Amino acid sequence: MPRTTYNKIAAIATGLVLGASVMLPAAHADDYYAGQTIRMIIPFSPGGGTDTFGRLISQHLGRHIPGSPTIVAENVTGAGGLLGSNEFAERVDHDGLTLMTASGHLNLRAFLGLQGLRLDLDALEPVVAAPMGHVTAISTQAGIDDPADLLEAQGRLTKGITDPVGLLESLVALEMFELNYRAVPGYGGRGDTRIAFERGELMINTQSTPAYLNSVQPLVDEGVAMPLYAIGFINGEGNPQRDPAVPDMITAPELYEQIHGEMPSGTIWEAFKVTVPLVQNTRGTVWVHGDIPDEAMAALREGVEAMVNDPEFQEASASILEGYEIMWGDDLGQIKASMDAASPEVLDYLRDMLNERFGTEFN
Amino acid sequence: MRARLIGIFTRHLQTPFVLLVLAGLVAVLTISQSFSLGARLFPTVVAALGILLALLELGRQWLRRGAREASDYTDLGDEDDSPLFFAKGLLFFAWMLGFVGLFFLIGALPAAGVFVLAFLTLQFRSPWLPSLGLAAGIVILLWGLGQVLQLRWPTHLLGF
Amino acid sequence: MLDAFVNAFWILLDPFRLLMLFSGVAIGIAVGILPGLGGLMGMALVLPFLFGMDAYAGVALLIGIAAAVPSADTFPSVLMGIPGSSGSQATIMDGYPMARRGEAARALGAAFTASLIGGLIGALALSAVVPFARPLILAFGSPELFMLTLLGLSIIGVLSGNRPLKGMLAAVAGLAIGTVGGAPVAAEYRFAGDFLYLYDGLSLVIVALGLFALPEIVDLLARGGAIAERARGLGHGWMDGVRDTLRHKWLVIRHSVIGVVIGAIPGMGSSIIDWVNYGIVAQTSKDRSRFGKGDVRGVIAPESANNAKEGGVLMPTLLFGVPGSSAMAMLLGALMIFGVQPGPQMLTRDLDLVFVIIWSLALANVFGTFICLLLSRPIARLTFVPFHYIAPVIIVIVIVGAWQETRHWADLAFLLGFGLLGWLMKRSGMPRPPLLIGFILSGLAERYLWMSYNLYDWEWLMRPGVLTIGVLAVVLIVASVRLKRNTSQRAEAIQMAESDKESRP
Repeated sequence: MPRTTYNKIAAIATGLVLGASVMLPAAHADDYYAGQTIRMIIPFSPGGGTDTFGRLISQHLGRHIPGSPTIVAENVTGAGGLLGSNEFAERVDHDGLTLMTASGHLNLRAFLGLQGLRLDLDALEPVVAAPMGHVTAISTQAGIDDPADLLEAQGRLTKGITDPVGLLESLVALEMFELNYRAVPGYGGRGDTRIAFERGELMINTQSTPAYLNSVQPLVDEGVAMPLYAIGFINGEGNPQRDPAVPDMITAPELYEQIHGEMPSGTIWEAFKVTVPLVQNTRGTVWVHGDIPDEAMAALREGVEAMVNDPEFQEASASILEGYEIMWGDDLGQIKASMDAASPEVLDYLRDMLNERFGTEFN
Repeated sequence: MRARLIGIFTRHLQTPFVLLVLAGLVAVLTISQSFSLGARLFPTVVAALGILLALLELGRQWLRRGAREASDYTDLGDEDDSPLFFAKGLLFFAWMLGFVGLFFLIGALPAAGVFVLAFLTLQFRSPWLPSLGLAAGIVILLWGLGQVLQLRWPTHLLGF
Repeated sequence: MLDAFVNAFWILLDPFRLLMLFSGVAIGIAVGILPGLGGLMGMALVLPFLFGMDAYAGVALLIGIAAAVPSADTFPSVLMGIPGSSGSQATIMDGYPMARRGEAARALGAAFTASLIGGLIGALALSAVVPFARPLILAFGSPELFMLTLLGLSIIGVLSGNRPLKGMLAAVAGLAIGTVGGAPVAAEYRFAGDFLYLYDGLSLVIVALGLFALPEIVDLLARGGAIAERARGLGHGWMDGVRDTLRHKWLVIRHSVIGVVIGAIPGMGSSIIDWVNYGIVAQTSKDRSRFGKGDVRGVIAPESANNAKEGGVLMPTLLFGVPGSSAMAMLLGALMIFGVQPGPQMLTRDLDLVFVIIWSLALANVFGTFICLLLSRPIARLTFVPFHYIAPVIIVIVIVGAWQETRHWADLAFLLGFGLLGWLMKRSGMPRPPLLIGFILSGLAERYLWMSYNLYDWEWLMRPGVLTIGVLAVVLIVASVRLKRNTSQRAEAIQMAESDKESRP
């Protein structure tokens, strides 16, 4: 090769290497998601509360993530959320290109290790979540007119069961009060139990707070029903916190204190403190695998922060969140923290109760 | 010889079929006993009732052996019961199974094209041009539907 | 109230909202015509677009789809005996035989006219009754619902023709197949083992497609020729159908009302509605000899009911937030997106939205059925095309559509399995509709029986509603048996008279 050509080749090669090394440091959060499509698995049927939340996020989050990826929501239904969850847990790559929207009760199922569910929450990170409270009401046929007289309620205290894990927080509350209730399984959904309650078939009913305010409150006004307590939330220190949507309603632990003169204690109280935070995110929790590349995680967090501050998102989410605030950033730490705080005794207690009373099987 | 065997089989298919149903119901009955009370009561009652009906039906078939049975309610009555009809039916099931196999092997769109082409040319000796046209048409239709309705395609084994 | 009614019409008349309504109807027709795809798929498809719309437009879009699907899925039912996803199932019983006789256009014409009138009656019923519907809906408790499932089971008699024992066996087998999956009152997943796919039980779409579609396709191919065995002038086919329906207008009205009433009862699901209507029309008609062989009444009754039911299922959906069908579950999700809370206050706070829904329902039915009527003539021609050209296309669409259910290979395995089962049933003279009915009602019957017992011990048997429905079921069975006897007596008498005539010199 003549010397001049060799020099040219060397020059070009050097130029390429220099140019490449200039570009390398720029491969961080901005570029990870550029031009990509994120798949959002929703393990439930379209139209439900969690599905609507998942779709809301998939509509808005994409453009706020650096790189503006498109997020496509996909319903993978079956087995009460198990098929979609298992797919997310086992059959997708851990590259940050797949997210999953779970409900608070699905989180609970994973946490307790429901048979057939192979979702491990320890291996996941929450991206964004939305809470939802619950309220328990009783029919006036029970003959009491103050929640504090709860233990004197008369008659067959029937409570409709759709699926015991799906109602765990209300069942734990009833157990905490040591109320003698009769479980009636077979209801298709909370809406069915609500109609049955209105019809006078069921005596005790728990609904999400928005559903309570919308459909049960009129019954209260008519004098057919009476609110007992809000399940409420549990804050970071493990103390009961009022439900922001019904701040005047007494929470279950507070009612217990009113009846017995002291706060609840023991395993059942620990179980309550573990169950409620997990179920607080009933509206939805968006999960991503914990071991995705750092730049992907950073990009997601940036996107969530930008989305939450976007007035367009705030307006769109107002009707879907029904009076609650989005949980993001540091607030999400509470989800994992409450899981970590659960002792093995509490887990065993919950699993045994579900197994003995309802036959639920665990892994 | 084989035709005659198939003929006998066809004419008396109703008995083996009821026996098949009976076997299924017995299986349901036995497996149900391992469930908890809430889960086993209904299947047990249903299976027991079914077994009773199946035995009654077998009894009725025994008493009326030799008489011809009318075929399904929705038919127009002139169904062929010849062994050839029976065999052809199984053949077409085999074709459908073939399509399902192709579906998982090479993907929905290629499978559709190959299936339509093969079906028309090999089975019905259709001329090449319209068969090719129809095959191309179905692929385009599927592709269009896939886009519009956001249909999902299987991940095929021989990916290309 | 009246001005809200009129006002809603003007709201809907906005060009964008009308466009949404039309788009919904178009999507509904496209999805309904193709066998195997459900109306639900069409609605899920448009969910992302709802986020950017106002409530009226969004509702128009969804109702457009929901109203058009039960009209359009008449096409595969009549032409090929392929049942629709939730409506137009019983239409196969008489619509398909009519197509086989070359009367496809007539069947379609009758069906769409019945659908049109039925849909309008449904919308009318919704607007008239919805203020009073609440107590009526609340009147149906678990015991009454159990009796309704028994009522549903009682129609298998008429579906079994002259083989009642086989029909009952098929129905009981259907009940047994329906127990696969999660037990309603226990946390047990029956017959599923570790196979997660079966935890939800078998899918109705797969079972119906397998049992009815595949055997028909296979038999038509084996026989050779076209769907229609005899050529008939297509000319005024569909006009004949329209005239048929108008001649039977009382039938249309009666069955539309039944469709609305059953649709309004939450907890029955909508799949059973057109079977029940078919059963009723077959059981209560004087001349029953032609049912199952191409009696146009067997098309008119279920078709009017399954369009009218859309008006019915909206009642529990709007008044209670409890969806009367899976399409309604989507509507609820959409309402949530728009910030509308279903409940009694819809009649005060959101009355104009309620009337927009009603008007959308009415207009979508009109547009949808007219488009279908226009399409019926060209599409009916397909019944004269040699079937081996159509078959591979249908096979591909059915299999691809069935797989969309859960995208699990087991969908297709069970589809083929039930296809083989249905084909064997045809060969051995076992009627298939009772099996499907048993399958549909299995879960409902078991659930409500347990719940009645858990709630009321055995006192539930004495409730007035229970006794009324029980008596009704008995009356229907007795009437059908007596009518049958009269029919066969009359047939015998005619035969004897004719043989007398012949023997006279």
